[in-house]
This record gives sequence, structure tokens and C-alpha cells, in this order.
Amino acid sequence: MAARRTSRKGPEKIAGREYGFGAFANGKALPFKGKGELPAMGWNSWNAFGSGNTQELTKQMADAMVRLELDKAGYAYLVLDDGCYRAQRVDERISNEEVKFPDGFAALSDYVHGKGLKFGMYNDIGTNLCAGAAVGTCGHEDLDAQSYVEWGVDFLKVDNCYYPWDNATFSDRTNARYTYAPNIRGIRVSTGGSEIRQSAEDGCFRGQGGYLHRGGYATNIGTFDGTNTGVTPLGERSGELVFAVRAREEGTCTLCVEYATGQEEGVGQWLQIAVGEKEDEIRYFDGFLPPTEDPEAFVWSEPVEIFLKKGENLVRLMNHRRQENVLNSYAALSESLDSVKPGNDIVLSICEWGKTQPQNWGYKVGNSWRILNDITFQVGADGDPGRARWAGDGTDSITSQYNKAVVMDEFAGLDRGWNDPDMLVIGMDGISLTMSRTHMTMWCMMNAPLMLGIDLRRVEKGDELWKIMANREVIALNQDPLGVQAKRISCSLEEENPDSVYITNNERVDVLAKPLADGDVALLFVNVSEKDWQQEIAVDAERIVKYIGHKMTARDRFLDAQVYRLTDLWTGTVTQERSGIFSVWQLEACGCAAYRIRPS
Amino acid sequence: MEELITGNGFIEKMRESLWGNMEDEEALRRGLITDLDRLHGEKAIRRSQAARIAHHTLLYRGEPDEADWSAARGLKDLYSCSTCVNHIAQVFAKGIMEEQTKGLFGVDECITCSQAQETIRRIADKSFRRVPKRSDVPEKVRFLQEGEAQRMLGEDRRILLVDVRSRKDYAQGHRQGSVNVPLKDLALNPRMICADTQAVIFLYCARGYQSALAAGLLVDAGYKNVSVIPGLQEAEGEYGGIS
Repeated sequence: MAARRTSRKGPEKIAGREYGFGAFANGKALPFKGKGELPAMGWNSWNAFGSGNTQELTKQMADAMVRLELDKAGYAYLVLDDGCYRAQRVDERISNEEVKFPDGFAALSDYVHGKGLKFGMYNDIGTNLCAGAAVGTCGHEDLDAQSYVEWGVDFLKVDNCYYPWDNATFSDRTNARYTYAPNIRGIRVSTGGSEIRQSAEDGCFRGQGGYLHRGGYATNIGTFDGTNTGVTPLGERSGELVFAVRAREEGTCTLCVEYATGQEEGVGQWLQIAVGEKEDEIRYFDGFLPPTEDPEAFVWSEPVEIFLKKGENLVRLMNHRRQENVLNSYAALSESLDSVKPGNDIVLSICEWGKTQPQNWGYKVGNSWRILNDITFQVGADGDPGRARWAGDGTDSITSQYNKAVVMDEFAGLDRGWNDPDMLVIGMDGISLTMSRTHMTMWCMMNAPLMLGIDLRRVEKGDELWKIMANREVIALNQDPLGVQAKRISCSLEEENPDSVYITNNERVDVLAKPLADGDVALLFVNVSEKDWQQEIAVDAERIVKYIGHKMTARDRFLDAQVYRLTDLWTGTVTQERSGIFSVWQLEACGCAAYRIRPS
Repeated sequence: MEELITGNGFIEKMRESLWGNMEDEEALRRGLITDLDRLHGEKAIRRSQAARIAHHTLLYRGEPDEADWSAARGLKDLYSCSTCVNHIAQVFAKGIMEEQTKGLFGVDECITCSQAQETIRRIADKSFRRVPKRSDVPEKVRFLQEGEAQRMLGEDRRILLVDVRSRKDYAQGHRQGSVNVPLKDLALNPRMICADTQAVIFLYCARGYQSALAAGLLVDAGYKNVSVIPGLQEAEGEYGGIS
């Protein structure tokens, strides 16, 4: 595997079929990706200290992780988020900010390793980091990989501020011209003497998103932006305009497209033209078309040569670059790391906030993928715990993240990686102990990475916050060797498809079931609303097996058991259940009940 | 045209008026400024940068954050930078920096020397702040006649035309250029309509009942420009444009 750097001049040619949209569904990770790791657990500086993090604070956190025996509970990684780099590269290299991190990263890494912990850092696939420092890895992936390996880095969180090929955070909004196809009014296919014309109405929309505008043209051809709470993560997250073109004989012909360009979400300037699909796909055009005056000023393109088989051909007009460009950027960094340190187990935490629907491709290069923008924007500082919310319209609340991750279980797995609903907000203002308990249990059931974001100097072993973050029984669900994310098997608002309907209406209770390696099943009842729930919520063994039976290691034993032993994972109480019906009679606002169920 | 203030100039004013002439190194340590501010100090300061410095100054002076910063959520560019959301939200909600144009904070815009002076005055003295009023009046849904709706649809290609009936009904015939978002789905997730809460949205159904309900859901979810246009059975007399 060779180290490489991406270009800052323009999106690159797609490296090969394995990096293209057609390969996303094949389940094959790229060769350099590490295998079979459970969700990462650790502490990250961002929610605790924001840009105010320092070397001194970091060392104190390392000491605290050991003092509180969090390392024994499984928290292994100590991650330096944004705010630690010098604002500019020196001789093209990234380096430490000298007032807050005077001894440099190698020394800090040694300190952390000396405590028996692993060391993590942060970067960005764009040109600048989110807080502005011009040290984004774009165009420098090979050199940065060397630096990270030199510093003994075990974990990298990489987000996408200032990404040049998408209208990502801080990027130019007009970068949307890279991620959407132009508006299309029709095509013209010519061979020798004959010509076939088809208008957009004759075409067919594949996937979702693309549609026929009342002006008579196809629009919105591209990939949905997933960083907000409006978009379900399930189903086809992009659209194409496809034409069936019949050729009397096989041979070369020319294709012209009637198009109009824009630079905004929904209409761009970059077009991909392909004939055939998946392994048979051949791309004939993958680039900018000359810009038009406005998105409704249609012109004909220059001819593109394509080869048609005898009979029916599928001519696809599309733009999957939003996903393909970002995959390429993460791959460049990952390949470079593998070149410097072959076979390394550096965890790659993809953090482009769900913008490019990473649940489709993230497994090829990384260990986890963020699914939304941040869980809180009011991060803490030395002496300030920061603030978070249970619910809210934006992405910045516990339930906003939970509501999306809970329907994404099929994207996760040991041979793939994990959905990442962002770091834990346990200990922040606005979050009660009940909320923290439910939040921790949700994240454990959903196989989310568990990253604490609290100033650990505030915590004492045995206190209420510690009991939540160090609950071994609940952590054991997250770290269960079977590696299956829980499934929502019941929802008070959705009868037919509780597992796959994306719901942001919080006036409801959910029931999640998770199969465990030893044949047990974990069951979680959650009151998502902020009012006490006073009705019985019940599921039976049949329902559990209906939804997760095919993933259970002892399905029949579970279904046929005469007695079930239930352990309440927060109180420790053990009860027996003979009816095969598992229920709770009430749940307090934002509360939960979690059980490990063992069939006898 | 009035002179724009540079990063260095802004920091100097803060240092003299509000930081007790604190040295740079201490200001860095306290998080009042960052390495980046020093590096590009000769350039005109951007409003997002000024908001960050102003916010840290407020905290340094012992003034806690507003727990309720919802007034800032109407700013279209609030989330354009995730690390500055809170800084912008706080200086806006406290009335220290106002929106540049309606609905926009102007994250990348510059500041004049007198604007900088005003910002400093407001940090030091609450009586000069212009705290934004929160609108308690719920956004109203507009009900349009067929003719007016057609005219607007013809003039503005960006209007999102939505059919809230079931998929089955939609498949049997719908207004040309409409997208189908059944009311049932909308009730579970109102924000699936589109990401932009300022977008102009036209809703219709068969007789006007479902679209009125859908409109209410969208207004509650924060959409500002929701209109209901005649249902297909209402419009049948006037309009033949069903596909």
C-alpha cells in the first residue's frame, strides 16, 4: 500500500471500481482496513474543555482515568480533539501549539502510554481544522501519517470542515457544484445517420431525491445531505436519472445532454455519465460541464463517446461524488498510515457528521462514522461543565442522535464498524442523573463508541456519575463479543415497522432488543418523552425472536424456555419470569429499564 | 467608507478596555485569544472571530452564558461553523452583536472600528445592549387561491410543492412537479420536508383537511413560509394540470 496525498486543485479520478458508488453495497472493506474491533471506549477533550484543552489538563485526565479505574472498566483511549495544533504547518509538517502544549505530542503520548492508556488525536480531511488552524490533512496525508506514527498515535478522529469538494462546514457554499448534477432536460444519442432523443420525462428516476421539476426538467440529482435531523438514513440516499436506450447493433455512438448548471444544494455542475451498472458499469464522463447562466438556461453539451451493446442499454446520468470524494480522502489517510506502519491497528473515527451518508461506505475505510452534526455546541472549559439537552429541534440533543442511530442497526457490525451518535454528555448542565443513565444505556445497546467528555477531576469513585459511567453490566452490552447493535422491536407510535421507520416525534416509548454472545438477550425500555409514562409496556419472547432471532446464538432455547431470569442492569435486582412476557408498568420522564434476560 | 478593524486592532481594544492590559501569553492561556488570531492579526477581523473573542471576554468577566439562546436559532448562518455556534448564539442572545442583515449573523463579514467600539461598550455596560425580542406570535399558515398559487409557482422555481395524501392516491394522479410526503410520515418526522426552515412550501391534498393538519405540524416544527393551496377536488373546476 503506497502513501499518497490528495490534490487540492480538484477532485481526483476515482482510484478504481472498489472506491466507486457501485461497490458500496458489496460489503468488502478495502485491504488496509483493520478487522473486527468492538466499539472504541475512552475520553475525548472536546465536550470537556473545547479549544481550551492543555497538556496539563490532558495529563490530569490520564491520571484520573487510572484513579477512577475507568481503564479497568474498558475506557482505553485518551483523545486530544481540536485546539492543540500550531495554526500553521512548519516545513509542511503539523506541530504542537507551544503555549498550551509546550512539550510536544511525542512526550504527551509517552505519558499517556505510561499510564497504560492509548493516545488519540484529531484532524480533518479539509484544508483547515474546524477552529481554523491551517493544518487540515488535505494534500498532506502522506506526511501527516508519518507524524502520527512517530508520535505513537493509536486513534484518529477526522472530520470534514473546510472540505474543498462539498459545501461542508466553513467550506464555500458554492461547492455544491461538485456534489450535484446539473438540471437535465433531455439527451440525444447519435450513430452515423440516426438520432434518438429522449426528454427528462422519458427517463426514469432511480433511487430517491431526483424528481421532475414542473419546469419539465430533472433536478436534485445527487446524494442527500445527512447532517441534519430531517433525513432518514435508510433506503437509497441518492438519485439518478436513467434512460433505456435501444441500439440495433453494438457500437460507438455519441451522447449529448441538454443541461443547465447551478451552485446550490439540488443543482450543481458535475456530471457522471455511465452505461450499465455495478460490475458492468463503464463511466464515460466524470467532471464539470461548462457553466450556464442560471439553472434554467439550458444548453446542449459537447458530444461524449459511449459504447452501446445490441439491444437495451441503461444510460445513467448521476453524481455520486459527494460520497466518492470523501471516501477517497479518508482512504488516502488510511492508506498512508498503512504504508508507514503496515498492519497497524490505529482506529479511524470518521467524523463528517453524516453529511455524505457514511453508513453506506464508511465500513470500507473506518471503524465508526458520525451520523449527525454535534450533540452539543455548548462545550465546557476548565471550571465550566458545558451544557446539553435531552431533546431539541437541531442535532444538539441526546434524543436527536438516538432517534437516528436507533434505526441504523443493520449498518453496524464486527466486520463493518459502528454508527457514532457522538460523545457522551454525562455530567453537563441540563442533564439529570436519570437522563445520564438512559443516555449511557442507549449508547451501550446501540454499540456506539463510548467517549466520555467530562472533567474527570469532578468525579469520585463510587459517586453517582461514576456509577453511571463505570457500570460494568451495561458496558458489557456494548463490548459483547457478538457485536450486534440492538434493534428497536416495539414503538408506541409505529406498529408495523418499529425497526425501520425514522421517528423524531419524542412522545413515545421504545423497546430495544440486543442478542448477546452467550445466548442472553438485553432488553431496554425507554421513555423518550419528557413526561412520566403511566401505561404498561410489554413485549413477549415471540416478538423478540421475530425481530432478532436470526442473529441470536440460542434462538430455540430462548423461544422454548419455561423460565427466564431477568437481571435489572441498574438496580442489580434479579427476578424470574415464567410467562415469556416482559413488561414494565411505568417509566419516569426520560427514564429507562434495562434487563439482561437469560433463558433456562 | 469607514475603516475596517483588523484582528490585532480588535484585540488591542479588548486588551485596553476589558482585559486590564493583559499580556498575550496570558490571554492565550486563558483562551481569550488563540494562536490563529495572532498569526493573521493584520487582516480585517471576521464577525465569527470577534464573536468568539467577545464571548470568552464575557466569561472572563464572570458573566455566565444565557441558558436560553433560542432567539439565535433564526439565524440562517448560525450552524455554518460548529465550533462557533455557541459564541455567536451568546453574543446575539445577549444583544452584544446583532444580525448583519435580516436572518443572517454575517459570519464571514468584517467589522468597522466604530462597530468594534460599540461591541466593547455593550460588553462593559448591559444598558447599551440590544437584546433581540423573541416573537411569541406563532407563524401563521397562508391559504392561497388557485390563481395566486399558480402565479407564484410560475415565478419562483424554488417553491417546494408537496402532496400530503397517501402514496396510493398520489400514484393515481397528482399536481405536476409535486413530491409526495404523506401526512402519516410527516407526523412522525416533520423535518423530513426539507432542511431549510425558511423554504417556501406549498401543501395540498384532496379537500383541504389533511393539508391544513400538515401545515400545523410544519409550523410547530419551525418552518416559516408554509402555505396551503386548494386540494385536487377543490381545484378541479379551475385547474386541469394533473399528471
